[in-house]
Order: sequence, then C-alpha cells, then structure tokens
Amino acid sequence: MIPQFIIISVLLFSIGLVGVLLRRDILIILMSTELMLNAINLLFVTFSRMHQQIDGQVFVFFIMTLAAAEVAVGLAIVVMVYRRLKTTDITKMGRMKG
Amino acid sequence: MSVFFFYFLSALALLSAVSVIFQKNPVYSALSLIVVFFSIAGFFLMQGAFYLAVLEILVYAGAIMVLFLFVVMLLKTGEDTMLYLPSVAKMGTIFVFISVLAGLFGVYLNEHISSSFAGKFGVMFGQDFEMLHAGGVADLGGALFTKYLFPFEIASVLLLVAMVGAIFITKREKKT
Repeated sequence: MIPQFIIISVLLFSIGLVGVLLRRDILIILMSTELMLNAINLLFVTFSRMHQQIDGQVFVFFIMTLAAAEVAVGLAIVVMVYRRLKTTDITKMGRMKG
Repeated sequence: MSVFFFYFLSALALLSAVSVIFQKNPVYSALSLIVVFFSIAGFFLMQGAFYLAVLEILVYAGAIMVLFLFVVMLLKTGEDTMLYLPSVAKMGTIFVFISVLAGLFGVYLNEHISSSFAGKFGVMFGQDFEMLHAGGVADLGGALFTKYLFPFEIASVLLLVAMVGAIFITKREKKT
C-alpha cells in the first residue's frame, strides 16, 4: 500500500497548493496551508513505515507543533488586519502603510 | 477489508480537500477541512501510528480548527471570495497544478521504474511493508526524550514565543 499512500499525499499537497494560488480570502489560504502540511505529515508517516524507523513520526510531531504556532500567529495577524482594513481579501491588503 | 477502508478514506479525503478550496463560505471550508483531518487520522491508524492519529484529531480537529472557526465567525468575510482571476492567471494556476503534480509523480515514477535504482528503490516500492510496530506513546516518547531531546525543548520555546506573539499582536493599543 506504500505507493497508494504516496499518491494520496501528493494529490492532497497539490490541491492545497491550488487553494493557496486560487483563493483570495486569507483564511482559506491559511487552511490550504494546513492541508499541505497534513499531506506532508502523511508522507512522513508513510516513509517512517517504509524504513521501519520511528524518526518520521517524531518529525510529524514537530510539524504539528509548528502548525499550531503558525496558526496562532497567523490568525492573530488576520484579526489585526481585519480590525484595521475591515476585510480579509488579500487583494485589498496590497499597501505598505498602516 | 483494509483495501476497502483505504479507498473509502482516500475518496473522502480528496473530495473534502477539493471542497475546502472551492467552498464560497469559509465556515464550510473549515468543516470540510475537519473531515480531511479525520481521514488523515484514519490513514495514520492504518499505518500503525496510533499516537499520531489521536494527536491529529486532538490538535488539528480539536484545537486548530476551533481557532479557525472562532476567527471565521468573528470576522465578517466577503460574500464572494472566490478568485475572479483573469483567465490567463487561471490558466497559469492550472498549469502550476499540473506541473507540480507531474513533477512529484515524475520523481516517484522515476524511482519506481528506473532500472539504475531498481536495486534499491524499485524493490522497496514494489513490495509491501508490514506495519511499523512502534507507533504507541511509549515508542514515540522514547525517541522524543532521548534522541530528539534538544529539538523537543526548542519546540516548547517555539510554542511559548507563538503564544506571547499572538497575545502581543492582538492587544489593543492604548489610546493616549
């Protein structure tokens, strides 16, 4: 079942990438990033089983930590931007002044 | 049975993932993403990573998506946030999708087919592996607290920094 898991992981990663490229709501872009990170998690677990070593699962643990930190800071920034600009549309955030 | 379970989960994961990026309402996107997380937890279970499966549901579906839903409901997001890209850029996006997919599959197929690698990778990919019988809390914790002790400490510092940063960023400035 190893190849099937790799194919599913690649497909999920590509779908997440399309989400980042195609949407302009910053919340959905963050969600697509989570989707990509999860595809990588699945790939790490698959390779961990392939090599019969636990190290891949430890990496997944660290990626989960990173994702939690990223979401906390990212959503804080989203809330702050919304408070100033009253929008979550990334095309309306293209200005570098307060 | 296992094969049926795998194809059921993969269909669920792919459909929900497509739903995440094509829903107009961010709330529905978040709910679809929770379904994706559950099916990935199912994949983890199938591969013997029991602790990570529990952690996936607890951390992603439990904590991260609740945070997302809170923020989505807190903000009044735009009515139509689908990207209205001009068609050239849309073509470009589809091109990027296809090329990334082809690239990743190409790497995989190259390893799979190429006879120069057949000695190592071909055989590896060709056969199936039994479960890694080391996915429990004890095995993961053993690796985490011996071999990966320093990265573990760094990760805890990262979480602290993220917590302080999130509080600092969202703090209202005092009107002076």
